[in-house]
This record gives sequence, C-alpha cells and structure tokens, in this order.
Amino acid sequence: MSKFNTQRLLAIGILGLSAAAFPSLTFADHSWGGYHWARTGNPFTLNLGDNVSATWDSYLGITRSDWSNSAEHPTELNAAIVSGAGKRRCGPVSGRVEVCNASYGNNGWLGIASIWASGTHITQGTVKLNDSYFNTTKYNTTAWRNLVTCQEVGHTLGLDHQDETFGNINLGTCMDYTNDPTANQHPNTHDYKELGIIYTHLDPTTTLASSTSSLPSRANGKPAAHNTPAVVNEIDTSNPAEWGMLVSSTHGGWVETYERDLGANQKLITHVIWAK
Amino acid sequence: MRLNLLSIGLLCTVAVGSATGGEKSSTSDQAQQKQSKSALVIDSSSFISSLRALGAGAQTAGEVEQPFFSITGKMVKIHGEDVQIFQYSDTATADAEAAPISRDGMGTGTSKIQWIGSPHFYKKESLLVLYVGDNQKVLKTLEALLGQQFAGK
Repeated sequence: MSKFNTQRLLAIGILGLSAAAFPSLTFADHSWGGYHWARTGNPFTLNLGDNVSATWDSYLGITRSDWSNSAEHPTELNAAIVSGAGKRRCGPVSGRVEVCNASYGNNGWLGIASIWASGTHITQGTVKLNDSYFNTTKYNTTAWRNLVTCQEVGHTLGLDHQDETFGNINLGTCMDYTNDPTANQHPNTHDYKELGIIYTHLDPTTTLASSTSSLPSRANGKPAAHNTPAVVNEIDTSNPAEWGMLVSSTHGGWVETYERDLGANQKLITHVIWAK
Repeated sequence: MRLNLLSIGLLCTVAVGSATGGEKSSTSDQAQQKQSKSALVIDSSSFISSLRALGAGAQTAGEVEQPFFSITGKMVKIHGEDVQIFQYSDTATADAEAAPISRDGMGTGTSKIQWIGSPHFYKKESLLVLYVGDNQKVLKTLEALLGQQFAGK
C-alpha cells in the first residue's frame, strides 16, 4: 500500500471514530417553511382557544404544558388556555390558535392543523380533532389523543413532522408519525431545540393576541382581531366587492386571486375558485 | 353526443379485450393494457363502472367532506377499503384544488394533516380520488384506472 493510501485510510478512520463518539448527535431541522409567530419580545404567550368538549380538556391541558417553558424543557414559549372563540365551524381568530373537536367524518384524518400567514409570520391558527375516529376503540386511548393534540398544536407553532413513516422506530416525539403512539405522546429535546432556533430572533411587530384571559372584543357580531386594522372586522369576505384588486387569473378565469391593502402592513388575500 | 361516447366506450372495451387475449403479455402489452384501462375513466361514473368491470367492488358508502376540498365527495368501497372520490364540474377546478396538495400528501397549502394511514391522491380529468391506506390490491387498481398518484406516500 502506498504512503498516500495509508494516509487516506487513516483520515477515514479518524472521521469514523468521530462519528462513533457522538452517536446521538442530531440537528434541529424541522421548521415548517420558516413560519413563526412574530413577537417583539421573549418569552411570549400564545393563546390556545378552548373549543373542545370535556373529554378533550385534560389533553389540551397536557399539550399546553408540553409546549410551555419549564425547568425540564426551557423555551421562550408559554401557551395559555383561554375561552374558545372558534365556534361551531372552528373559525380562526387573529393572534391565537383555536382548538376544536367534532365528528368530521370518516375522511381519513385524525387531526388537521391550519395556519394563516403574512409572509412567514403566522397570524392565526386552528386545530381540528376528529371524533369520528377518537370515538372508536382503536383511537380512543390516552396515547392517541395526546399524540394528535400535541402534534397539531406543534404545527401551529411552526414545527413540521420529524418523521413521516408509520412503521419505523419511534423517535419519542409527537411530531413523528407512528402506528404505536405509546412513546410518541409529547415533544422531545429535538423539538425544543427547533423552537429555540425559530424563536431566538425578535420581529419589529407582533402577530400575537395580547390578552391571555379574555375573549377578543366583538364588532357587529364578528370576532375582533387584535393587532390588525379595525376595518378587518367590518369586511364581509362573501362580498366580491370587498376583495380588492384582481392580481391573478388562471384556468380561463376559473381561479382568481384578489388583494386588498388594509394598511398597517396587512393585506387581505382572497383566493376564489368559481363554480361553473 | 351520447352515441359517440358509447362508440368510444365500446372501442376501448374491445381494445382491452384484445390486449388481454394473448397467453403471454410482454411489458409493452402490459403498459398498453394499463393505458387502455386508464383511458376508460373520464369521470366518477366511468370510474365506478370500470371498477365494477374489474370486480373491485365500488359499492357507494355515503358522502365525505374534506376541509381542503370545496365540494362534497362520495365514499366507495374498493376491495373492501374506503376510497374517496370528488367529481368536479371541470378539469380546471380539479387542477386548482389539487395544486396546493404537497407532493407527499401530508399537507395542503398551510395545513398539516395527521392521516390514519398513508395518503394517496390521484387525478383524472375532473376527478380527484383519495385513498388512505396501504392495501396493494387497491393501490394497483387505482393506478391501473387513474395512472400514477400525483401526491402521497
């Protein structure tokens, strides 16, 4: 063996040893598209609107605790449970996350998390938990309820899944898809590290609702939005005249996007698919 | 118009019949076969007819709603498994509804979904089909009639 080859083998050997010395070395890398709540300071409070039935209350409480700062898992986030304002349809409310449960049908999903965003700044979110499955023997377990509540709320913080394969080894986090949720009911260190990365910086503005203990005020029977222009509360989005300017039209006019500048750096974007 | 469609249907049936007539099919024959079966499907009615012709079942099992689709769908049983079909008024609308679905099927737009199994999304003309599960018979049947999934695991 030439001297060159011996040196190269030695280098590979050293690299191999380095890897073996840190077998559990992981990198936080499951941000969901850079989405995050805008804040002007840390730590911050995110309100979770409680629209769930009594059966779900304890699970929502556990999830709140899972994602909040504690001695075991320091984080900039404190989640707070406040009275729900999502109503029957689980409508979004600006600056907070509405958490709801209902029998949404046997449509294939246990939970769905939705966010609305201005750029990468989350402005509001909803979490829906599907009782059509949670009322069945298979899913009516503490483990499944914890996993899904934790995961869906985790998405509204800006986290993606850590793994999306059902049948592989569990990672010990609710952000991991699994066939057996026993070990995946709560966040793991990797999730808290990712939250740390996402929420270290501060923003010049906030998208969070300021109150932690009361419902948003109402205007004309509609939920008011915190930190958004007053005009938002008056807009009837079912009225095309209120959508603003047409900015995109595709598929022969079947699909259109309108934008209306609301001031204060906010825009109303309306995406329409017209019925034939 | 109806007569023309009937003729096309008969022609396609003949094409499938002759393709399956040989004792030994080559790879190109099989590909042609798939294409022929796929060509039969233009909407939910022809999809269900084709499923029944294949002996895959296709009993209707009520309606289904998805928060990310604008229309109510129908649930059908294929080889005993739930499959959701959404029939749009035109291909452009179906395209627009399919566009936000992520390639892996785990989300749509700014929504993330916790499925009960692996999602599989198919599209043919103005028809969107969703199957959540891993039954190979179902997956093969859907692929034969609708082509490859456009999103899913």
